[in-house]
Amino acid sequence: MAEVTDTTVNIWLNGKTEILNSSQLSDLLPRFKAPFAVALNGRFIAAAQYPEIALKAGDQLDIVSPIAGG
Amino acid sequence: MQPEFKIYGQTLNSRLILGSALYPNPALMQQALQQSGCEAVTLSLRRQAPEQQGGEQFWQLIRDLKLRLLPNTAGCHSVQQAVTLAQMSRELFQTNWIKLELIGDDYNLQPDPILLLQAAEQLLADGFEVLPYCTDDLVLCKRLYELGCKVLMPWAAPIGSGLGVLNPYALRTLRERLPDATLIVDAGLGLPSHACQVMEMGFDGVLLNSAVALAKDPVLMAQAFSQAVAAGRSAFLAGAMPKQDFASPSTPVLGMPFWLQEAQ
Repeated sequence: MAEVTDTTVNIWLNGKTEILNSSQLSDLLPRFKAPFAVALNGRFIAAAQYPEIALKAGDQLDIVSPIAGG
Repeated sequence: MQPEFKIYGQTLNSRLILGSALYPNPALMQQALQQSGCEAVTLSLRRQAPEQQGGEQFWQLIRDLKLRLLPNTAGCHSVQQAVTLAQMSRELFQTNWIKLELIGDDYNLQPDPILLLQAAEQLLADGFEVLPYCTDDLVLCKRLYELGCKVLMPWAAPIGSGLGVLNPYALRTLRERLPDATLIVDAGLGLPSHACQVMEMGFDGVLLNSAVALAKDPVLMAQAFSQAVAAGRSAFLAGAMPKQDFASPSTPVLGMPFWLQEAQ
């Protein structure tokens, strides 16, 4: 985990605190395996919007994937 | 000719829909789904944990089955949660179908009728084809249907309870009062006879998960449910005999030997 500096962003990623070196959502997503879908602060973010999203301190980011369900 | 089973215009050849959860292992899930003959399966979305393995295998198995996908909003307690999860599901699973679940009580996982109406309205306006998981309350179901939910999924009993139909009067009344709605009994069934019972009432289909997945032999139980659903449907179409409180001999009485007619 990176140290908090002026250029880092501290967010909630899937319910856990995370310090990011880049505020760009698209820089974070390669860590996740497709397929996935994204919500920011409880709102859906369409895949086409990913390049436009800059994360701010305290943002809550959820990245979800298919699981079994009834 | 029998009326087709349609969900928002999509014809399904099986009136049984199965869930994909709780099976002892993925291979048994796959076999059970195949042997049931079902053409639609429910699934969900959860936070991805890159360190956990197995999610990709599940997704590959489901895709290999080439079934229609019915994503759910299980676990949601607010309208916003359900709407967001539905939107994420639509993008990922490429379907407008959403099994709308909004829990109002954590003990019996009873759907919240007020939030359900609010969420259904938003999702329908956003182009979703909403299948609300609801109680068997007639007025709630009427309201959901009037909003535009062409398919309703009332419970038989709480999710995972296996109790069977707790209120047959309520389900019969729903069928009677909403003759044009597609009604699928969802949740609470434990035995094939429960499924047969609701199909005999005229319900259009059955959705279940635990009763198959938690059986000692899920594959055999999936087949049993498939047969029960088909039998119940045939019985409904055939039309049951009227009930009566007294006996009527089925073998003709006329000509019975050993009887002596008294001389007049």
